[in-house]
Amino acid sequence: MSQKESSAQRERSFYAKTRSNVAKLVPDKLSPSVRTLNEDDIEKAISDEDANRKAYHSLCYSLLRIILLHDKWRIAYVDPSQFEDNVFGMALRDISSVKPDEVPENIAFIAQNDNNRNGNKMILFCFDDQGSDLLRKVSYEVKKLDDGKFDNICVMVVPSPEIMQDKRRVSKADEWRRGFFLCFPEIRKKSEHLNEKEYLQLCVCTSNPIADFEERSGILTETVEVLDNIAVGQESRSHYKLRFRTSHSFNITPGQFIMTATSSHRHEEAVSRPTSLDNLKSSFIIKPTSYLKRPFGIHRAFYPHFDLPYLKRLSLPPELATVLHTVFPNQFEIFYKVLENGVGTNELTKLKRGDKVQIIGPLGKRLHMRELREQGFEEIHVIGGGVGMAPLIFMVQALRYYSYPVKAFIGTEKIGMLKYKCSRDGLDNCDGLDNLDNTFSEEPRDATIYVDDLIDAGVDPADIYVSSTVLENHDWTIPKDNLYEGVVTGQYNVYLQSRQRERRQKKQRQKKILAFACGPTGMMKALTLITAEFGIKQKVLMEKRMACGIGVCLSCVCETKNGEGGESKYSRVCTDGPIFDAAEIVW
Amino acid sequence: MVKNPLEVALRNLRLKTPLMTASGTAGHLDELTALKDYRTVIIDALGAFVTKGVTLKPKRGNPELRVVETRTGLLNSIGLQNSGVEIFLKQELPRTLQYELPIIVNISADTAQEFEELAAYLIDNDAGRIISGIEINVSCPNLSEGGAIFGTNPYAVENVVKAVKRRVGDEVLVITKLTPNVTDITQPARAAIAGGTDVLSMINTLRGIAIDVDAGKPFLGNVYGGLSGPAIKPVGVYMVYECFGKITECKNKTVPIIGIGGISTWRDALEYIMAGATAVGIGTAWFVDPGIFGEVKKGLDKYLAKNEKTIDELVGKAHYC
Repeated sequence: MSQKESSAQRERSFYAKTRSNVAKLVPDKLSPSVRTLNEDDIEKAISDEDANRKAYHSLCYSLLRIILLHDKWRIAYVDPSQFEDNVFGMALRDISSVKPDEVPENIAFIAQNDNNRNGNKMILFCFDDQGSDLLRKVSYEVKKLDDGKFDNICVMVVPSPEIMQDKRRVSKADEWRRGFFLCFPEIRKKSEHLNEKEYLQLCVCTSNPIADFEERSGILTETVEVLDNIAVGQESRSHYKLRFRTSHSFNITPGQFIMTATSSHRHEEAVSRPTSLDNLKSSFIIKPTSYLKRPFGIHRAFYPHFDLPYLKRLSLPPELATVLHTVFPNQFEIFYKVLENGVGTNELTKLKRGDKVQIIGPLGKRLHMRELREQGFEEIHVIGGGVGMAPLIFMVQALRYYSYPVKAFIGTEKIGMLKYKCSRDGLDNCDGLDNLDNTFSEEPRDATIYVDDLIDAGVDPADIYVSSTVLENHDWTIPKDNLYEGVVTGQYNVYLQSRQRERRQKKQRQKKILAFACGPTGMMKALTLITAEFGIKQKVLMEKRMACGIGVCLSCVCETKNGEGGESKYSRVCTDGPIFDAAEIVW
Repeated sequence: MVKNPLEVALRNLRLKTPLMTASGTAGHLDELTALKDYRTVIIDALGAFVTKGVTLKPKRGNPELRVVETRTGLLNSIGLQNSGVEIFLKQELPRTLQYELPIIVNISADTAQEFEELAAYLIDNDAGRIISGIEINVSCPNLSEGGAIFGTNPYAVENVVKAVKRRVGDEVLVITKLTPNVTDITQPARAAIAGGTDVLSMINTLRGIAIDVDAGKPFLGNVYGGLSGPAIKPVGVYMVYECFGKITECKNKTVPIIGIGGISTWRDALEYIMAGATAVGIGTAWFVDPGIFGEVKKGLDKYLAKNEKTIDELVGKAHYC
């Protein structure tokens, strides 16, 4: 027998074996015809009969198991019959000995990790609506046990991205407090990626390439409600933080931006013909008013039922985290600098609680966080100058969801510019606001913007660095050594140098680091030299004057190196960016 | 069947609504499909789509800054950035097909000869017969005449229109987009008609400069730019009114007018229509509110239903009172 033939034979027997494995997993009606497990089959599997549904659950479980074992989490399940007695400990069954095709139905699973720094020792998950009641009960029991420290998360596995999109709607948030979602195609892809061998044994007959789950969301025009709009900074009223909420799901990712009207006047009113002298005076003739919307990055986003203390403690198994999804955020902050003669930003400061303004978004290219891990980045640095730090905070929030180690470098002109009084009266006194469900307020306190935001997002204070040209005396929640007199590029350079020294002493390998920078052009340009020296890949968030925000007016261009024939060309910040590779920009 | 009161005709081209995009403000249409409601607020509301300016060779565009907001206006100098007619025909134009809208291609060139070449290239290579009309942008500098704007010289306008019309023939509309930077708009308008234009569109942007007093220099990289937005609306309405009132071909609608300039509401659109425009183009306001076409259509619908009129009956109404 030639070698070629024998390998073909081996392959045939391997396929036959794996197909019979799958037949075990997808029994009854489906099994004889199973060649490929495509969306339709899965759809059928859950809609047809109990046995098929069970088979689908077994498959989900097996795939999840690959992911969780990779993250070194143990899995257990809750025995519903035992749980009836409300003896939680008794109801836990270790599943390590249970074979995939013996997975009981209508149960909630629990994954445990005892070595976790921050908590979240348990993940409870269930498949589709099967077991969801039990999941809720278990979640409640765990909450009682852990003194409200929220050491658990709930994950619901659904068959398709469409169902998941639906579950993630803000209007459904109440059904799933602190709930995360997974969809089947994603765990399938992830488990294949993590342990191809085991994956193949489970479902080698998947001959079709698995389509990427693409989060789709069109650009919306939405009227949002202002929650508060407060000045930040001790001396001048030069910076403001505006918080608003949307009524619908607003699926925005870090790096993306919104364009907002700067006043609650409707566009029609702003341009309508003045009819009296009084109107004339208050109209644009005397005082300039803005016409176009203004682009802003998101400073912070808040998710229904994910309160700040919970987020701070949140720590997810890294591989699982890259396929988890939350309910969409519905509350946002933008942080903006008021330009002395700026028409739009001055108008913005006049907005108050209850005002309604029109925004357009989400705009700009989506950044796929999960890809960062696939590209092998082990650590993310964010470096912000002035208001440039704001969109990076939102990025850190998201990075934390994906369990990325983060270090943040904040550059500010004066430390005092970061200080503000965070007050609660805004939300306790709800004049002008109808329904405060799913809105968040912070404890009243003397706050430091960026620094406190990062800590709230769960970043270790030791990983936060602040530089300023004048270092005044302040109480700091971060170590004294993390303060630097000078510019942020200087501090980052010093940090990288000392890190390199330490690494060489200990003869460690260099980690693969990705840096995101946003701030004045000069700062971002200077950073490119530093990151190049230390072999760090750098991305930048560009900012330009815009008119449309959706790529048609060609106003917001920046020069990039990827033109035809190696020449430079003008790229649109709004749709080709705002995140660019720093190496791509003609500085 | 009841006639759609919004329907109008530009010569033999029937439009389901009198609303069009203004060239350069809506890209090549497929950018707009990123909007969630693009079907209802854009495709359903539009009568025709006008592309951004196309040139024979790719154009890089002007240096930054390219836009600055002025009081109720927008001053821009983009510099006709586009990937050239070849890529336009191969990649950008075919994608517009699926939206089932009449497509009007806006063209720019440096000389009358280049205009002719460009028009010929478009017509000869439009295998799918996608193009319903060609809009000539006569607001660009005429390099063979020392850089003077074509549109300010009636003789040059007539030449360009003649050259384009010769190549385009009768099946595709020739539209001439006039510049308002002239003393008497009827002169270039008459010249375009003499050259054989089927339709007139007006107005392009008004020239302007904005100076950054803090920096002590002009805002725009190109120093001067074109002003659009609500600020220029009365100028546009005036020019449509003039042409409709003084030019026989306009008044009897053998050469219909597309009114453009600062339209932000349905009332603005009606102003243009009553001044003599058969259709209207909306540009800058679209940047402010992507729902604008839907809003204007809704407003017009309501108005027409209330007054039991059609758009056709209202064209030039302000002249007959």
